[in-house]
Amino acid sequence: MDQKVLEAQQWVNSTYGAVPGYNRCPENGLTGWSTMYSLTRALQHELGITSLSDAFGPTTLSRLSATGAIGPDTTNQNIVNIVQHALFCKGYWGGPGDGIYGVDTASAVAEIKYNAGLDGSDTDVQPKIFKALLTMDAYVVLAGGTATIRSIQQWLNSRYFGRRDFFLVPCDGIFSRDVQKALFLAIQFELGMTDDQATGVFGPGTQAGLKNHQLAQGSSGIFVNIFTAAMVFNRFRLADDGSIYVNFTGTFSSSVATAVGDFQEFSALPKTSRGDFATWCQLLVSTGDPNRAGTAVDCITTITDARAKTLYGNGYRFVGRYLDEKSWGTLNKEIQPGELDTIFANGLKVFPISQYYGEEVAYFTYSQGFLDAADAHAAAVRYGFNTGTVIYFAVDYDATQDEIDSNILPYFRGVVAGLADRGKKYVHGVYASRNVCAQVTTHTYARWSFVSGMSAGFSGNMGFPLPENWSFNQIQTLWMGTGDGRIEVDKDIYKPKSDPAVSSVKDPISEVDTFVSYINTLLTWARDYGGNRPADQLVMEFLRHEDYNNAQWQLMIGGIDEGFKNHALERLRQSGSLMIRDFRDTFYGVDIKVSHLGASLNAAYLQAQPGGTLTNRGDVGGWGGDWMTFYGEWRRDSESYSSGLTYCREKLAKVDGNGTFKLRDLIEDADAYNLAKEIRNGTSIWAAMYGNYSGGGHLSRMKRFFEGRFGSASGAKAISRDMLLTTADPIISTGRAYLIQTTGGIPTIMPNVLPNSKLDEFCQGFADMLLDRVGQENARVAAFRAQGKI
Amino acid sequence: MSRRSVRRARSESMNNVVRVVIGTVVAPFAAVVVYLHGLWAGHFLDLRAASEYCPARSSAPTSTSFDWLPLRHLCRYADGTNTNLVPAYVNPIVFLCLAMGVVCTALALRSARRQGRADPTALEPPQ
Repeated sequence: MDQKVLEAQQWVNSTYGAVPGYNRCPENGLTGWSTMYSLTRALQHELGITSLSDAFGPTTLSRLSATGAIGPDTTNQNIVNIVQHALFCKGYWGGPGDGIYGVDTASAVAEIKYNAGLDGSDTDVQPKIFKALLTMDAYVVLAGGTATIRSIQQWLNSRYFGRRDFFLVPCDGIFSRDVQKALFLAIQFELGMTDDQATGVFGPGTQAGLKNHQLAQGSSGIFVNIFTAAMVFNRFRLADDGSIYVNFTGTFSSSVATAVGDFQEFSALPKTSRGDFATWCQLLVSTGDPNRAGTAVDCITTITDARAKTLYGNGYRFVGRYLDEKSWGTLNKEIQPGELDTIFANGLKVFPISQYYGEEVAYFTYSQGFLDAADAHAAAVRYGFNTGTVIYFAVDYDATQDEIDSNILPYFRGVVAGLADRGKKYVHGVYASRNVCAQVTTHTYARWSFVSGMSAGFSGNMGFPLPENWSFNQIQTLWMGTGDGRIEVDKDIYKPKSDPAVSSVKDPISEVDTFVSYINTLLTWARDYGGNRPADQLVMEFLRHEDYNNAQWQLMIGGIDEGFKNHALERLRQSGSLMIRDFRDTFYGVDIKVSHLGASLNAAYLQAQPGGTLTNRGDVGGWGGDWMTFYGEWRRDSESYSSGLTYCREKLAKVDGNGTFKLRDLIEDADAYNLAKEIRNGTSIWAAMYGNYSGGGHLSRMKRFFEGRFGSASGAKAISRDMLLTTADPIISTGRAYLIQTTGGIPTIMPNVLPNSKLDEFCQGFADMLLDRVGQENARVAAFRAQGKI
Repeated sequence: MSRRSVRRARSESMNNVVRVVIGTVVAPFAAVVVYLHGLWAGHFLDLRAASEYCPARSSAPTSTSFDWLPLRHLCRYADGTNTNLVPAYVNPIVFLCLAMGVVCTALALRSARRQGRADPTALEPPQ
């Protein structure tokens, strides 16, 4: 509770409590919109307005303009008091609350103006400043904000505050709907539009203007400023080091051009590295340029042979179709008998969508999510969708942040539970606005996001970047074709290398089986090849050769047999086969990276497990290397995550999100350990792989890894600690120093310098995570047993 | 010896010390520092996947290779191109430092030999 806020609430209630139309605010000392609304109504009363409103609208503004700026000469002490109390509520010392515009009030106004990017030498409160005072906008960086975004917000305020319809934007470092609208206004002002023409809407006039302001390396000026501001707002990652783009500048340098290329690649635009019209649109609105070519559609219409040919002929390759419809549904939108065969026969792939209703907040509850998941599962099984297929569950309305927290996330937790209850044959994705997609991904690990970008005005799309795991972006409704082939669809942009979608159903061989068969083939070739290394080892080396054969790896576990690598590549070429680099794990629905699995397996195979709580190179090649990198990430983020335990809980071994030690890595590390153990005991690599992936071994992978390598929670804590501290092997020490310093940034505090208690807590997080994973695995296995599946 | 000759001899002797220090300590030390920097910047110690540290191209790298001298760490791509991860300035500086070390040491040795010849008393055994 803030005493000055409480005084403000008491003053405004006691002064205006009896005024008709005034709404009392709670007297609790907590600043919030209700207090700001009360102060707004109080001001309106002082200005002679009789019909009071929470909104600081045009009437309030014009009456205030007629009164003139509020300053030392203002005689209406109540208005000065409103200014002072509003300042208190915003965290500034507005003066003693005596209604006299003294030095304290003037300096507080100067400070807030300065923080907002304006000239603080004028200490009067102009009407638009007053309007800003009566909002909850902040002018200092808030949690989650960045200094660069704040500097852009200040720049916008300083440059355009004088324009009639430009109101102060917050300077809190957070990209929001208001900030995006301010950017639209900035473009319109710079295009020479008058105050009447500049509406803050990304309409045809603005688009036509931008077509004449295409940028390239060497460009400079205000449009480069606006362009790079939009790039900063989109918070995309740079390809070279994965960091977020932050360069707000007036010069289109080579580094900006490179970043533009990265953004275009992320957004599935042609990579020109120029600020062309399509890139402007993609930066500014959730549709991007709606007229650009897409390769995917979604529709409620049955895909007949003629329609499929229309789609294919127009360059489309992916079709989103609804799995199911309730009996009370009237659209007949679900996949029809034989439709999938028609789709596949015409060279199209399908991505399944589940939407029974989903158009208002009340629909979304945990139990509804559970039921929808069960129904979607049943429908998908009926059609024969293969294990691991991603089903997009839809949120087809503009959910606000409060609704996301209260309803949408519980709904998706229900979806996760529902799919798990059915044996987790399918994996959940999300169809929604950008913000909903991002939140659902963060909190429930949705595999892919299908963004409803076409709803550009949604609060969940304006002021939010594309989620990192986007796969489809819906941008335009259109008709195409003629006669029987005529069809109305929503056009979607497909992100290459994202959701592979479904090209066949009822497949007798899953991707896992294909991978196991691939291992068998490699093993046969390795035996044919001979050489002086075991055939199993040659296969492991081949699996890792692309990614894990640099100097450090060669020092650690030796180089690969180049002769066998070339032999196997040649055999693959001759047989017309491709290397398998990823395959989908059916238990978790994540893609396993074959080179990482091969490297971890190779290390664990060559280096026998050490005794006690010691670690060796076999660990570093697997979980240990990931653990060291994760330590570097924690230290890099330590300003936000002082507690290593919290950091582990939020970031370690998760399905998605930022970071390097994800669930996929843990699965690969666990499998590598389990497989190596078997191979060292004489099982062939093929038999070990078969047992692990096709023979049910994956159902107990975490348990076997945990019990075999760590034994207990205290063992996991001690061993993970040794991994960060051991000095027994200089190769491990140098590799660790490199990983930690490059991930955390030089200088990063090394584990041996960190206080014991902090390191203990961090390692406890590792042990807890393993226990959690074992628990989840046990629960899933129990569910399978109950359903008679094992 | 005249006073001027003594001064010249002292000066020559000082120069020799500088050459020896540069040739045997400073230049090799600089070469080692730059070489180590090349190892660090060139991802020689990296345990991560090559696809994580090799520069992004239209395709992922298909292999890596390295040499210790000259220092080279190549990311090779499917289209036949490759990228050296070691900064371009590392090898020239290393070789320059090494060459400087050799030259300075040689100059110092030659100068010492000359001085020895010019001052025969320096070669007389102690009385």
